[in-house]
Amino acid sequence: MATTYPKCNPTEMLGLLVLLNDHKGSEDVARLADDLDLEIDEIFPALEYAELLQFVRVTDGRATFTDLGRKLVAASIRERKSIVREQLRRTPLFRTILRALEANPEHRLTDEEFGHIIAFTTARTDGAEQNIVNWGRYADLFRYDADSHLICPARHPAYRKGAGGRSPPSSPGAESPGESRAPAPTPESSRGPGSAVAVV
Amino acid sequence: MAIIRVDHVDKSFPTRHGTISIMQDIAFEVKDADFLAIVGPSGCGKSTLLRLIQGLDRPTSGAIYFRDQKVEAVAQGMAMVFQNFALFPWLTVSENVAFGLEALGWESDRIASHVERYISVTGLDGFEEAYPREISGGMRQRVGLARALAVEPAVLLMDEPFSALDALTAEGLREEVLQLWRDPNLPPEAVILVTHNIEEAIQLADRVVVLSRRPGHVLAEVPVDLPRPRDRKSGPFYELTDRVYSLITEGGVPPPPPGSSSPSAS
Amino acid sequence: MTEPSLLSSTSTGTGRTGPDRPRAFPSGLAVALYAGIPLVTVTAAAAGGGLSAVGVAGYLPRASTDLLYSFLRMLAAYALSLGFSLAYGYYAATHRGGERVMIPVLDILQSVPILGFFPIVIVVFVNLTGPGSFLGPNLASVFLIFTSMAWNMVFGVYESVRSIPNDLREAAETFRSRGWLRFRRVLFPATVNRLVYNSVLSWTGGWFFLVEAEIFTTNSSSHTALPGIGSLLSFSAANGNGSEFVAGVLLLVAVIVLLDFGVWRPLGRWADRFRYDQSPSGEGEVVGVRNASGRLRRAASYVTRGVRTGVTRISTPFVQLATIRLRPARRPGQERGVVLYYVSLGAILVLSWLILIALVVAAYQVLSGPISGEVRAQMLQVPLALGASIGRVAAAYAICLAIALPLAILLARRARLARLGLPVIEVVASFPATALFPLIVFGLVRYLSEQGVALLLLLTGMIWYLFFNLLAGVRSLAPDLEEAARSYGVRGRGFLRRVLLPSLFPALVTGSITAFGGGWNTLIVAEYLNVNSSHSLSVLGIGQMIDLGYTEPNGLPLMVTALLTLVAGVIAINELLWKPLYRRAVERYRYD
Repeated sequence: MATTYPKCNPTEMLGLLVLLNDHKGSEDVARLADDLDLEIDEIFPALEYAELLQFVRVTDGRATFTDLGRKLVAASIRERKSIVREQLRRTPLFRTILRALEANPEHRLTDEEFGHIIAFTTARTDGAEQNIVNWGRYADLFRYDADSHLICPARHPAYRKGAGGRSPPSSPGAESPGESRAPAPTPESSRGPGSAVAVV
Repeated sequence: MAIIRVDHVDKSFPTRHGTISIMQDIAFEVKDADFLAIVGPSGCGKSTLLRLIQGLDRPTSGAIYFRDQKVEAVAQGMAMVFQNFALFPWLTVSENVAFGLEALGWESDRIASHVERYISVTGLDGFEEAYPREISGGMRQRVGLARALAVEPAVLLMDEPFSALDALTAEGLREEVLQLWRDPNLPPEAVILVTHNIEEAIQLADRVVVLSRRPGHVLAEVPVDLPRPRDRKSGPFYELTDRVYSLITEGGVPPPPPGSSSPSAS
Repeated sequence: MTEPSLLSSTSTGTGRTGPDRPRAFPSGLAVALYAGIPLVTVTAAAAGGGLSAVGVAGYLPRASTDLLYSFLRMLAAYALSLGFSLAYGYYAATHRGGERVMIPVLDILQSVPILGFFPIVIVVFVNLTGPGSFLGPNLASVFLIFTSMAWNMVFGVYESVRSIPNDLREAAETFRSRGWLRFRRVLFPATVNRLVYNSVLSWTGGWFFLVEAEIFTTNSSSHTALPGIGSLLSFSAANGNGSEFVAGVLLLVAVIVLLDFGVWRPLGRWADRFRYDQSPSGEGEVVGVRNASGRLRRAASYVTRGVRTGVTRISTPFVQLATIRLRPARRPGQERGVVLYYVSLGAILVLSWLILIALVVAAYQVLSGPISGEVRAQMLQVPLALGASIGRVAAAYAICLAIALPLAILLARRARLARLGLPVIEVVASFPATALFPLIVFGLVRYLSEQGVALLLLLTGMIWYLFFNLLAGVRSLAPDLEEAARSYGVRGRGFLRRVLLPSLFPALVTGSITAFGGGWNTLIVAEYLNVNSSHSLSVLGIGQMIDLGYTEPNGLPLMVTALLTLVAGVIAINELLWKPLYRRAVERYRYD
């Protein structure tokens, strides 16, 4: 299983899977690249992510769908998000991030802390951190507040003015069943309302 | 009923070297539930045509009708998705999506729920508070799409919406746009897509209007009867693309090689 | 480094509001406009004191000599600036360490209000060359003008060398042109266009400062006044001698017009030949246009553009200063180059510490000596004076904003208004307003209060910076965004509020920074002018304190204290207000 997190965004990976689907679910990587007039290394990032999230298997230069990959391509826009979320949570990097979020007393991570976590797992290329943040956002695993430069758990209301502590998040429009929030809210006994609120 | 009627439209621009005629005698209709693509070589005026349809510009002669009413100014009921996204950098994703709604003067509750809905529909959950510069091109165009859908237009206008994206991202986004189009609960009633990518036109549209090179006129309207989802490696698909290519070639300009996604100005 | 493109007013693509295409700028109109200035002066003088044509003519010879002195000072300063900027700019542009260290140093040096230092500089030079020697004040003024001219030219050279297309640079390497040949063939042509551009601007600013400096020296004190056009104007206005004043203004206008038509426009035409044609629109911007009318048009617009874009280019160093952080950016993935950053920052800090220590020692010597009771009492007022000045500059700024913002929006978006309005403004902006200060002070102090006059003077020194930056900002609204706004039905007031004004925020910040800079620089003649105590201007302010320290005997401690306080205030405002604002503007409001 690939362990790098190259610069690639969710739509890009999806595009690769759509392309593979056009090729009936299994194709030489070189031919896939050719189809879009791309060099092989231009589709590598998407391929690596697809492999990492277990949507394809690559053997002998040939990419093939897994069942999960097929499911992803057939899914709706919203369903795709939750499939990606489940897979992303299993990756070492995101496991570490989520654990760090949970372990942090305020359930927040600064840019630097986030940067350190990433430095362990992937090359510090330009924009790598922003890319990871965007995957986390896409999968609803955590949120990022550009004003305060903080990573917070998904649907954490801390950045909304006047909110103290946490309330169960509303789920407008979310259809996927069993959508879990990570990390689970913990009671904050010694906090008064408003004091845990992140600076907006 | 034709929701859009382009009635013998000419467009020319005065320049210091004299008047340049961009297009001549353009005429076609767009009906309910139509997904229309407009293709043609660069400079044939297809982007200009889109702006004429929305009312951002006026034809030199002829007229455009939206629901049988002549388009004189920017028409409500149509919304555009731009090639370079055109998102306001100082607004968050939510605020960008709300942009058109605020202009309609709705109350903030109604705006908020609309914004939430269309952010969710376009897969932008989690990005509400993000700024455009933080997110990738694919996400930005989703915002452009959400912004357009949020005003619930009858006609969605798309000006080369995928050409500023890399090939893979464009693939992914195209698929999701198709999903949105096929959802009966979502606006719009018709889509007009301008593109230089013939495969894309045939993959997405029900009908392709082929324009000649400048001064652009309608070479043909090619119906695409293939059932969706369309297999791009099938015989009928190839035939259609060939047909459109040769139409354009006969119009005097060599077409881009098949599969190429190189953008060109129009 | 921030890209200057944010601030330059060169066209951004095919902007609907009209990119910088050469406009027909009839030379006749220019002359007429220039004539308007003396006309105004004449009327004012006629209303004030005695005026006769014969009288005016009688004063012309004397005024000419004075003007000659001023002109020679300008020339000397310019020659120094030219040499300095060529050397320093090339070096900084061609050596890797150069940009990291030298440019920030220059940034810091020029952000301090130059004119505030003039009194001290005079004192220093006078001490060096001996009291009573004419050399002291002259050297001081030349040095002052040099500092105002040099840095913007250095940046011009630096930027143009950096933007030499790589293939040309490589060609020079291949043909092994070294030293002088390389300079002549490659480096100089690349910079000459920009240099002429920036020279126009430098002279405009130079006249302003020089006249201001000369006026300053006419304050009655133990120091002698500098013979020059500024002193002439100051004395004649103070003595109510309308004819002499008018003679001075006429001559000044004549010289500026002569320079404009006789030097800058021909030079501009010649320098245009060296342009790498990089204009995005391309239409009509053919390099080396053959027909005469085209060339003349381009030359004319060249000079007027010089004034306009030059003012916005002043913003660049301020802006670059504003982006020097004390800590690196706190954003994911933004920490590259931190080591190099800290090293160069360290070098700057060391240098600054050395200068600071020297200053502290000098200040200590001054302040630890005997201080008269009177002076001590005044020194205690200094903090209050600073507050007053800040309030005054802020008030003048508010008025500038109220005028400049609507004006800039109007002129940038209505081509018809712009065709007439912009040339007028450009001519007005190129004439040193300080030349009219004596008239305003001694003529208008009756009608406005002293505070009103001070405010008015400040305004004239601030408004053009703000205006031209805002103008550039409005023009650079991305056509994409404008189209999107229209497409979603946002027009009129809504468009202004939700699209145009937010997009203007970066330009507003840089314009404000430079406007305040202009304000600080004008303080020493806006708050105090006392030539012969028949009329005088004296309002509580830090500029006044500096002036008092200069004019009073044994006032040196006061001057030093006031100056240090002013510098501290400016730096504080830079750090607490401008830098955070600018950072936000760049992060949040720039459309890429």
